[in-house]
Amino acid sequence: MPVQRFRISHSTTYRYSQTVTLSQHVVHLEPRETPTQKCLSYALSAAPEPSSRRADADFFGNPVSYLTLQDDHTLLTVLAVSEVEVMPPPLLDPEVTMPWEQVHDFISADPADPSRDAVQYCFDSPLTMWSRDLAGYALMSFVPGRPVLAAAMDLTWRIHDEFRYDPTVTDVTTPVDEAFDLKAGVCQDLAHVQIACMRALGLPVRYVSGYLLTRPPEGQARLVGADASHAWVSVYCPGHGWVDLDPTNNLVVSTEHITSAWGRDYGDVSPISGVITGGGTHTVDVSVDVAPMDGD
Amino acid sequence: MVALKNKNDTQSAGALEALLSTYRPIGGTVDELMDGGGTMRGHWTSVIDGLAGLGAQTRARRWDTARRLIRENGITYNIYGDPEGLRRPWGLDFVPLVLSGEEWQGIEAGLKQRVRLLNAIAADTYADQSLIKNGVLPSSLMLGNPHFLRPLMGAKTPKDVFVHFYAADLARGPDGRWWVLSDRTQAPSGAGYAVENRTIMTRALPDIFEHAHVRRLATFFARWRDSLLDLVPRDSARAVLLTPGPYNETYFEHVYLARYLGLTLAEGGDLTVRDDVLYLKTLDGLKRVDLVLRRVDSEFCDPLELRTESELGVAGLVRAVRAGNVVVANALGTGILETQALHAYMPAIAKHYDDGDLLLPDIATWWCGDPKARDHVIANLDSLAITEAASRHRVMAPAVHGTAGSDIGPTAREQLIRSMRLRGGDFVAQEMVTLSSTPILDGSALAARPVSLRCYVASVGDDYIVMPGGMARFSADTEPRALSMQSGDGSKDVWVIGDGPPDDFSMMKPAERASQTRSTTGDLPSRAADNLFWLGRYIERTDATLRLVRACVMRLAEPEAYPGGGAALSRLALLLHARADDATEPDGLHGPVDVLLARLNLLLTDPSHLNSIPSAIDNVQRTAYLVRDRLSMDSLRNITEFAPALAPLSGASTFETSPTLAMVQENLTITAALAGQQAENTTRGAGWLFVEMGKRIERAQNLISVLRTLVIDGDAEANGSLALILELADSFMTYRTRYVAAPQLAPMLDLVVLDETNPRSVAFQVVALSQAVGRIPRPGRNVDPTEDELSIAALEADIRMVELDALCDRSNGGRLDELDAMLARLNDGLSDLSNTISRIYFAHAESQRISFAPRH
Repeated sequence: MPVQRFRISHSTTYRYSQTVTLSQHVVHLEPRETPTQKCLSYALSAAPEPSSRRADADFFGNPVSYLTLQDDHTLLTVLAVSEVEVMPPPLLDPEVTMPWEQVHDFISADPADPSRDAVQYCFDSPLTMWSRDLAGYALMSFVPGRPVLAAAMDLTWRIHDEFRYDPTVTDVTTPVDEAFDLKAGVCQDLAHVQIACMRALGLPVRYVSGYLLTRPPEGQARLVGADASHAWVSVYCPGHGWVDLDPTNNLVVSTEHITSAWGRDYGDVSPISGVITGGGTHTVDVSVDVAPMDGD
Repeated sequence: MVALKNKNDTQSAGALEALLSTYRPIGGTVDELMDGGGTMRGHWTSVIDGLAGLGAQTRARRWDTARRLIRENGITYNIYGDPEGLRRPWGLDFVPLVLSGEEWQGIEAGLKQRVRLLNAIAADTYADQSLIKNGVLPSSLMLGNPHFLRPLMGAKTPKDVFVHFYAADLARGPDGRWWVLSDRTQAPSGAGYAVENRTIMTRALPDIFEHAHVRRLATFFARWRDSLLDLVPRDSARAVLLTPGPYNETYFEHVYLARYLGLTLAEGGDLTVRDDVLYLKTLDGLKRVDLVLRRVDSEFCDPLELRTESELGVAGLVRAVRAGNVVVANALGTGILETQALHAYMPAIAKHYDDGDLLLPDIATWWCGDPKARDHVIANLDSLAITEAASRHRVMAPAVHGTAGSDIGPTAREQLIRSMRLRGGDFVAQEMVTLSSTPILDGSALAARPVSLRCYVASVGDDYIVMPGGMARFSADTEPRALSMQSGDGSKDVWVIGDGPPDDFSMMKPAERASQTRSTTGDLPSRAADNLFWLGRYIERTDATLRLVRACVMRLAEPEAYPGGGAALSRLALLLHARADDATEPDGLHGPVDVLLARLNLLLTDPSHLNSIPSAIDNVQRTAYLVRDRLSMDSLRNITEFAPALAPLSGASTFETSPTLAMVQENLTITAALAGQQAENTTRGAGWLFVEMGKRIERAQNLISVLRTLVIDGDAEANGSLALILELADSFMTYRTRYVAAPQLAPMLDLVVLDETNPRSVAFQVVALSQAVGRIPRPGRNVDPTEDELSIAALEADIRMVELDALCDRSNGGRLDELDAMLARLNDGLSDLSNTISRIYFAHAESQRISFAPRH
C-alpha cells in the first residue's frame, strides 16, 4: 500500500441557551507523530477568538491545546484543519507474537527498560474498570498459549460480531460494564470493551482517538462533513511494538485511520472537553471531513 | 491493686483511691497509665493527682464547664445522615493522654524521618521515578494507582516540598513501641480539633495544666503559617484555605484553621483561573491567589484535568500549578502516599535513601500484587486483616479496619482467595492491631479504653516540625481494635510533659501579631457576601417577630392596661395574620382571644412556618454557620445561645407567669447583643455593609407591613393601633418625650415614617441603605451610577419629597390612600433593590462540564 495523504477538517459548534461568561477547553485535535504518521500542517481556530491559548504536550505525549474564552458568548466554534501523511504499518504475522500469558511479566521484568512505558496501559482506568465478567469474556479468546495478537484479533472479531452498533444507547459517561451488558454502543464503547477485557488479563492496551476515511457507496460522490471522529485500540506485542485494531470495523488498522491521540481511555484524550460557567443547556454540532489529498 | 506513691495526706490518698478504684487496664495490651505491676507511671502523677484532688463534685462542675465551652465554641463534627444535621457536638474526654518528654523525643524523630521519606517518594514519583526504575517500588503499585495523577507529572514545587502538612496515626503495640498505622498526606484533618481540645482543656483544668508543665501548641502553628507564606515571594501574597464547604465532615476545622492561620476560606466556586493564574472572586474584583492550603482531595481539585465530575475544585488549577503561578499545599497528587501497600516498602525506601532503619516501624503489611507476599497472606489469612490496596481516602478513620481472615465465612473466604490470585494488586493484608489502653472519665471514676494517637508535622523552611501534642482517639468499647470517629467515638487532648520550662507562646496572640501585615481575610467572596446579607435579614426578622409576640403576650395578660383594650387584640390578630402569611381562618374558634392564641402558637412553635420564631432562629443559625469564618467569637456564641423551642401558650390565667415571655425576653437580649456587636465591634468592611443592608431592608419592609395592616383603615387612635406601632417600632419613649401626649396619627407617622434621625423609622432605613450601597466596593468603578444605586436613590427621593399632610389625608371615606400608596411603592422598591443586590453581587453562575463522544 502506498503512502496516503489526507486533509482533515474538524469543526465543533456549541450553542448555549444562556450566556457563557467563562469557558476553558482542553483540545486534543492535533494529529500526533507516530512511527507510521507525520503531521504536515495543523491549524486551530476558534470563534469568538479565545482570550488565551496555550500549546503543550500531555502525559502521553499527545499535543494538546488549552483555550480560554472570558468574554460573554452563546456560540462557540472550534475548527481544526490538518494535513497528515500515513504510511502502512509493517506486516506482522499474528501467530509469531508472544504467548499472551508471558506479556505482562515481560514488560514488568526490567523497570528501567524504556518499554516499561507499556506498563502504563495494563491497569484499570476510570472508564475501563475491571470486572469478572469482562475477564471471563476475554478468556474465550485468550486460550492458553495463544499468541497475544492472534488472541486480540479474535477478540476484536467477536466484539464486532456480537455487539450492535447503536448510537442511541450510550453516551460519553457510560461505564464499560454497562456497554458490555447491553452488547451495544458506538466506537468508543466497543474500544473500551476490548481494552477492559484485555486489561482484566493484565495486558497492555491503548485507547486511540482519531479519524477514519469513509468511502462513499459505489457511484456516489463523497459527502463533505459526513465523517466523524473515531476510536479504536492498540495492542502491545513485545518485540514488535503497538498494533492497532478496530473493533467497530473488525480490521487491522492500516492507512485509512488517522491518529489524533492515545491514552488509557476516552477520558484522557477526549477531542474537546471543557468547563463553562453559565450556559444553561447546550447543543453540540460536530462536522468532520476526511479528504484524500489530490496529486498523491 | 493500685500502689500509691508517697502520699502522706490520707485525704488525698482517699481521693486518689476513689478515682482509681475501678480502673482496670485491658488485659493483653499495654496500659498508658499503669505499668505491668499496677503502679502508676511517673509522668501521669501530676495529672492524676490533680484530678483526684479536685474531688468528684468539682470534677463534675469543671466537666460541665468544658461541655458548655464545646457547645458555645460550636465545635462540630459533621456526620452524614445525622438527625442533628450539620451541628453535632464534638466528643472530648476530660482526661488527657499523657506522654513523657523522653518518649516524645523518639516519636518526634521518627515522624520527621518518615515525612522526609514520604516527601521523597512524592518528589520521585512525579519526576524521575527512580524508585520504580531501581525496583524499590513495583511499577504497578504506583502507575496503576488511581491516586497517581498524570497531569501533575513533572510539576515543580518550591524547595521540592510536596508534603507541607502530614498526619500519622500511631498505636502502641504490646511490645511498648509506637507503630505507624497510616499516613495522611492528602488533606490531613484534626489539627484544628486538637487546638480546640487544648483550648477547652486549659480552661477546664487550668491549674492542673499549669502544674504539669505541658508543652504548648501555639508556636507550632505560628511557625507553620510564617513558613507557608514564605513560600510565595510576592509582597502582597494572598493565601486561601480551599474547603469542600459546609457539608464536609470537618468544616468546623476548616473555618477554625483559616481564622487561626489568617487565610481566606474559599470554596471552589469562589476561585477562578485566568491565563494560568489563580484568582479569588471578591466584590472588589479578581484578586490573585499565591497559595492554596487545600482541604479538598487532589482528584477533585480541577474538573478540567482531574476528576471531571467534581464541583469542588477550580477549572485550570493544574495549569496554574504547572506554570508555577500558585503553590498548592499539600501538592496535588500527594494522595498516592496514603496507599496502604506502601507500608510494606518503607524499610526498603529508607535503605534506598541511606536513612538507616525506620525509627517508627510500620504495622506489618503485605501487598498481594507481589506473588510471594500474596502466597504468605493466603497461608496466614486467619491472623491478618485484608483491605483494598488503593483505598479511597477516609477522613479521620484510622487504618485499623478490615476484617480478620478468621472472621470471614467460608464462601466469602474462598471468593477472596480466588480474587487475590487473579487480582493480587487490589489487596493489602495487615497484621491485626492491638491498641494500648488509657483512662477516660466514666461517671466519677476512670475506666480503660483502647486509644490511638494522631500526630501532626509541618514543613518549616528546610525542616519539619512536629506538633508537641496531637489528638488521641479512644474507642467506646473495650475491644482494643478498630476505631472510627465516624461511628461516634471520642477524642482526647494529648499532653506532652515538657522537660524544660514550657515556652510561653499564647494561643491567639502570635497569630494576630504575625499575620497583621499579611492577613488576607479582608477579601470578601461573593458567596460570603450573600450569606451575610441574609444573616442581617434573618436576625432582624427574628427580632421583629419576637417583639410582636411580646406585645401579644403582654396584652393578653392584661388587655385593659393598653390603649384600645380588647380592640387592640383584634388588631394584633390582623398583624399575626399578615405575618403568618396564612390565608385560612382558624376553624371553630370564637372571639379575638382564641383567634390570637391559635395564630400566636403557630409563630411560637411551628418550625415549618416561614416566619415562625423557630424557623427564623434556625435560619439565623444556619446562615451564621455558613459564614462563621466572618463572624466574631462573641457573635457566634450569642447565636448558638438562641432558644428556638418556645413553649406554647394555653389559657388566659397563665399568660403572666408563662415561661414564654421569659424566653422571648431572653432571645430579645440576644438580638440586642448581636445588634450591638454589629454596631460597635465590627469594622466597616464589605462584610459589615452586607449585614447592614440585609438588616435595613428587612426592618423597613417589616415596619411598612405593620403600618399598612394597622393604620390605613379604621380608627387607629381608638383601637390602640398607634400605641402598638410605636411599641413595635421601639419608638414609644421617644414619642412620649417629644410630644407628651397620647399617640396621634400625624406625629406618629412623622416619627415612625419620615424622621431620618429615628433609627427605627422607614426614612432612616432608606437613608442608611443609600449610604451602604454607595460604599460597596466595585471593580473598575466609573462615574456612572450602578443599577442598585439608581434604585435606592429613587426611593430616597420618594420619601423625602412626601408631605406629612398628604399622608394624613382621609378624604376617601376615612382611608389613608396616599400613605398606603407611598408605602406600597417603597415596599416594591425595596424588594427590587434586594433582588438587584442579589443579581449584581451574589450571582453564582454554576460551572458545568461539557464534552462529546465520537459517534462513529
